[in-house]
Amino acid sequence: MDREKRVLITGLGAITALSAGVAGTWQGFKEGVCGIENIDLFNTSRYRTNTGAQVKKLPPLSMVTHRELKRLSRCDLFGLFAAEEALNDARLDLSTTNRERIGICLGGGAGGLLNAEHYRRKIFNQERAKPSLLLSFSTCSTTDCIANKYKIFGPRVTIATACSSSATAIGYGSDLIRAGKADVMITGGSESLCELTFSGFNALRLLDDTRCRPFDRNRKGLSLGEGAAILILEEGERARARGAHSYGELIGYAINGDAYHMTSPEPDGEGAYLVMKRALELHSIEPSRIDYINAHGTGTFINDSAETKAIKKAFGKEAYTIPVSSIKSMIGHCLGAAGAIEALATVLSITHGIITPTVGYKTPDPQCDLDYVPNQSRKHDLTYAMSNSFAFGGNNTSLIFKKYDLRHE
Amino acid sequence: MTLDMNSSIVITGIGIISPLGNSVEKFWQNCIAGNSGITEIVGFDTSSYQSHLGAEILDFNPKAFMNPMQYRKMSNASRFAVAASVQALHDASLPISNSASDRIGCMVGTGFGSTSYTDAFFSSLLKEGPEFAQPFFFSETVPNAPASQISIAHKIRGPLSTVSHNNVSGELALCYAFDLLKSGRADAMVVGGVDELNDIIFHSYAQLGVLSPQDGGKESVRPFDQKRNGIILGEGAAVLVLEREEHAYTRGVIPYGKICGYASGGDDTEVGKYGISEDPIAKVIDTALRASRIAKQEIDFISSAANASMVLDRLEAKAIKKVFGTLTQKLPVTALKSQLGEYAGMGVMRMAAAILTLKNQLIPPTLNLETQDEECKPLYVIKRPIRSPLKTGLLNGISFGGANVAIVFQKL
Repeated sequence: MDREKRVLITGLGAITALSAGVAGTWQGFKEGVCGIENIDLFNTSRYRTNTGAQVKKLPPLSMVTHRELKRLSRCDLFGLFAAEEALNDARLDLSTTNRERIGICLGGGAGGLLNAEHYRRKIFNQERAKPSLLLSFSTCSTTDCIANKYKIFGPRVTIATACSSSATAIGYGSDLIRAGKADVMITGGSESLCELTFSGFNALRLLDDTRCRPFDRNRKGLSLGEGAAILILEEGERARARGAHSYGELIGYAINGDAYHMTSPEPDGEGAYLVMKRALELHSIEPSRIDYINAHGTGTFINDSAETKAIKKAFGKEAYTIPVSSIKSMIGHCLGAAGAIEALATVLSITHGIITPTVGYKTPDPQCDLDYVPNQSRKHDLTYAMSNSFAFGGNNTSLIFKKYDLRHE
Repeated sequence: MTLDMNSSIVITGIGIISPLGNSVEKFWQNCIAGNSGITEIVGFDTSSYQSHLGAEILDFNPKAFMNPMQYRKMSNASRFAVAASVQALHDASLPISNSASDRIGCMVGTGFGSTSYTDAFFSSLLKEGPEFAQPFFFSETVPNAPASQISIAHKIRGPLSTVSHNNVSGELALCYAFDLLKSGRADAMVVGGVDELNDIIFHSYAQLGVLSPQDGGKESVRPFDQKRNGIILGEGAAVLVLEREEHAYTRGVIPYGKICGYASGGDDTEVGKYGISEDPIAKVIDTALRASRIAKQEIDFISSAANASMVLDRLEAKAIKKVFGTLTQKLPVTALKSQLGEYAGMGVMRMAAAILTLKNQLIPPTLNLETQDEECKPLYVIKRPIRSPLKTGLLNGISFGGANVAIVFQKL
């Protein structure tokens, strides 16, 4: 692997509860808008809560036919929307590009489970159900959809580690570029709300009954969300040669396992600490150089205190001077897409020199005593920033981004 | 970080839970004897379907591999995977100490994880309502459960991830693990491939019309045969221990062989369908050979992805012919799916069989092939086990939806 190869982010696409599109989503993040409201995707009357960060309206997709619209899952459509925006943003002219050198690596969560649920419910009620509802069930369906739509022939792979899927997918995408397996990687992830996930977190008593309040003393759990984010990663020389705009550089990442418990993180945050430490060490970044941490920050009691402990352990005294915030306070926990949307937010924070806030924050918790950028965004020049994602089963990922500095060219 | 680009990635341990036996020895004996793991399904009722066969694991006792407290909450997918990992780590003589645990990782490829628990959870939701849905099932509904359970069982704290990409999930898990080792992110990776067979998976495949007998004829899995009529589902888990060469030698372990390189790529198709041309598959094989610095003349046998679906077998045969040209007629090809059916994470089990093929210098046969399809000629498909000097092999992975993988491996 050629460590000298640089990996730049040359295109972004997103859809969240705040907006369909990067501009609107960023505007919402900047203004601290909370997209967690009542959801109507399925009947929530018997749940402990009816809130979530649901995507309100999916704009028309230029590349999707009427027939496909019926067959594709909500998750596929989000992914296609974000991919279209990101590819346009990157100004990649696919007609003149060698598409064997463009790959795709996405992370997924529930995939087309919402469709499979419709199917299963019909069967349960002894009604006729269309088998085509099952087609998009595979986690990789969104990856295949995008790859097939744009006819890209490079490496194709889907990561499925629930809440850290798409962060790992971005990291692996950069590996594939550095290893010379591709010049451009479409990375990120997509997720749609569905009843199984909602009821699972409900049954585990991990849902806040109003809006999630990451790092707040009265936090009661997470709010689920949905959406997609796509980041176009491009080999540095190639991007420079075609005069591409770059949002920043992906320095690298680390993944590891807690080896602790299926649904609970280690209370002392050991695994989370180690993944941040490893990401820093692998890429020779001194902890003091990190200017901002986009936290996993779910709003569950244990995650937020464990993550705080982990940050303190990884960054020592510096931890108190590093702003840490959670965009899950605005768009909920988007599971398979969470890592990608957070990576996108981190990259935009670097680009614009603005740190996104943790909204809904009211009461400090002695267990969580870092600077969580409460309620209002903040102007702050960033050179290096980290984005954390932790998942069920102790699947941790930490990404490190850097401001794109022309002077180094 | 110092990187030895030239370090080989070797295979030092194998573990197998399969319809042909729950140990490497039994699996291989059955494989080479040409026994089939496919029988009438007994695990669930298939009477309302046209298809009734499957490769089920029937005599698995988790107690032989872990204690009841460990497996009490686990789905079959996790149980199979953990059991195979226990075997593989034992085979590799790789004890995981605290100090080494963060240099050892785990990667699993699975198409669907535990669909039985997913369905059990959703069924309890439908029957009893959200208030009574059992959280017990929920943690195992995530596809990363088997990998996480392996990491928890052995206290593996290095890189941990799960790949889920239809029928190349296992192959792509091997590739990601290979990349992590090659770039020095770990010294050893426990790599698994797993899926379970249950009524909901069977129902889904049946509804999508891909199960044998698609033509209403005889139900069987007949790769490359002119009367092939669809796939048969299987289940199981295989785990390989992959290791950086110097790490294995420092430990004094003699590897089975090494992975020379791989390539993966997309196809021109749509969700749920195979490609329309053999070119993307041929391209991936060609790229894998070049990445591995192996000439096509050096390939001694091919572990084929053929699953007896009309399209896949034809495309693979044509792709092989395209890459290997006149060598094709004498290049042995075998299709393990004729013995074990197909499951999404099967790539690791196929790789295990391929490594055992090198070790024993014996290629297992392809079952049920009577009349080779004209379109699959001139492939030299092995119908009886063949003993032959074998050094280098190629494993193809081809999935509906358009993902192809080729892995080149070699005896040391």
